[in-house]
Amino acid sequence: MNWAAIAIGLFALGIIGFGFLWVIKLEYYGGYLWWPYALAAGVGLLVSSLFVGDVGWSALVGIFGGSLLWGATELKEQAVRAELGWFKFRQHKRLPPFVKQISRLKPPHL
Amino acid sequence: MQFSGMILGLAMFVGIWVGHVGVRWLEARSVHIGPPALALFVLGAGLNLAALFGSNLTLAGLGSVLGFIALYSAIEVGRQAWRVQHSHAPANPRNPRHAAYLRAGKGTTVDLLKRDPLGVPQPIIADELPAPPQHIASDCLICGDPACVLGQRGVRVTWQTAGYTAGVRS
Repeated sequence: MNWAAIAIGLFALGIIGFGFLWVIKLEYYGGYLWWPYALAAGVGLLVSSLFVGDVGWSALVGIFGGSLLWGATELKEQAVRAELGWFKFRQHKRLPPFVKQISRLKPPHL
Repeated sequence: MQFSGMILGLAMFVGIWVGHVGVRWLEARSVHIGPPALALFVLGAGLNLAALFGSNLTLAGLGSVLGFIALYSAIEVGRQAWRVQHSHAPANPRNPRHAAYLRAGKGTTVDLLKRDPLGVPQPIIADELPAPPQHIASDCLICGDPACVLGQRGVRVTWQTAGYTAGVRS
């Protein structure tokens, strides 16, 4: 029986739960304009997974990368949710570097 | 090069994407939420069972990742119904279950998330909400009591006052 595969699936489930948490926290403290950094981190992890020799570890790195890609697309909607009062809203956020350039870009969302 | 991580990472992203959109689609069209939730549960359990007997770790892992996303989506169907009732997701007036929510003064057909963030709290304006049913027209949206005045703040929250500001749930 392939319990390692089930462990990979459980890890993915845990990462989905962690994804909700970090998206809420990042939006609360930093705002949704951090999305390019989350996107870049996700792509970086996916590419890094190509160079991890072990199948299992490569899978974990890739799954974490995939969840960061998804989180990057959720930040904008989370910002709207907070502004509508469905989540805690913080007025003064720590904005990301290059915020002016980022605000000209259209944030991705699913 | 090890392609397992890339395959499973992309499967994770696409799986969450399809799960996310699929749950909204299914919940908006299902008169009862039980059957789609059960179908997703059976799909998730089946994929995990198949993964358990798979010999290739990448393929078995793929089955398990998608299986757990399906199991999670089964729970999300119920949560989506809650979102519709609380105006966090748009109601489909053609769905009898959603139509009943709307008749009871719950939910809205407007997708309140379809807007850009402004960086400040955004009040939900009355035009974005459905017309209130007559019998609750003057009731407090929080407790349903027509005589309610939210003591501490001194604000009565009704459909008419459009004091339906950010943070107030129906």
